[in-house]
Amino acid sequence: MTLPAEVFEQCLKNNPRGQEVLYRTYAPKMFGVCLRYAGNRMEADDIMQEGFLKVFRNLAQLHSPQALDSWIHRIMVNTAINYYTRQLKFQNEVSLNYESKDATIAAEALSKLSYKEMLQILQGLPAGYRTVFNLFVIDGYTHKEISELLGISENTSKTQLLRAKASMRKILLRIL
Amino acid sequence: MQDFDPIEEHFRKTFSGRESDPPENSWLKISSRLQASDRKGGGISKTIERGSGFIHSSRFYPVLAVAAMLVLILFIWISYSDKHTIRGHAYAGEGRLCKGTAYLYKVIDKAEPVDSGLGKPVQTVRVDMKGFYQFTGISQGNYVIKVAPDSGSEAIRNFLPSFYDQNSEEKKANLVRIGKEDPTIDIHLQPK
Repeated sequence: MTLPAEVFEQCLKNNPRGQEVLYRTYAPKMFGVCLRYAGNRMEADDIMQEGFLKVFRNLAQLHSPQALDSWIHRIMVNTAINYYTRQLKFQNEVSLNYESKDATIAAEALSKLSYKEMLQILQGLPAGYRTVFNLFVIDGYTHKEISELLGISENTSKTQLLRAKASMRKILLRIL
Repeated sequence: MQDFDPIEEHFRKTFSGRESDPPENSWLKISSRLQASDRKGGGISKTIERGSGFIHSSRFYPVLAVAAMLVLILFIWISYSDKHTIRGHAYAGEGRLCKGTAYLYKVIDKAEPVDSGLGKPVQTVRVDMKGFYQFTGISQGNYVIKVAPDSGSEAIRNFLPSFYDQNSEEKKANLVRIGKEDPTIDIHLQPK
């Protein structure tokens, strides 16, 4: 996904047409990102709007236009994290046995789930679980990176992930 | 080595790079906020807009209500913290005046004795049976206090309405200066 150089230049000059082209180019992908970090569609919209405002205001700081895609993605993720900052409660309890995977959830069973159903499961998780799950599983952050991003320990990040997956497993066993 | 987890794998595959149509009016909201910040212009607008998401959200209203209450409390505190009380006793000869009226006049000029006329009193209070009187909520400045015995009282037969500290003439009245402290001002009625 690349943005024509002239559009990028227009955006740097705060040209509304250029800004709209940039928005239309990246909005579907970024709304997809926001949807999985948010608790619902309305919050996802709020996050995306905030994110794009940051994009347009800070575009001049981007040294390489080729990195625009990953830069906007990072802004959206950071905006989502900030949006839920107050709700993010991380408990570092490792005594619970979340390690054991339930063999009854097979890949074939999971494949029956629609995107909408999966999104509902993800959005139904507490904000802390959801954020760590998104960062680690889907966006490929390491636990070390997550710990720095969220200001938590690596162990807490791991625990949150285990808890997230345990919660999801519970829901999946119920519906599959 | 990390174990294969079907849940992780399935969610990763489903959501990685997944697109979704944003609400129709999202761009309109973004562009209107961009235009609004352009109109404000400069660094100040950037600072304002950084918090605008919060300002536009309903979470802002309780904060606004608390802030308004704090401003109100501060205003009341400032208003009253600068107010003073003048109290004292009125004497008719050796004894205290029983029943009368005390008048407080604000003096604008700093000349002493007062030479511009007193006008209307800013406060009028009763002098009680023990000769005690008190003016409250007085702001800093210069004042003149007059005490008059009640008509029909015994004191009116022997004493004149008098200014602090013992003058019946307005022009000889002493100023009472209200600064940071609350003064006690005793007034002696001038004998006839």
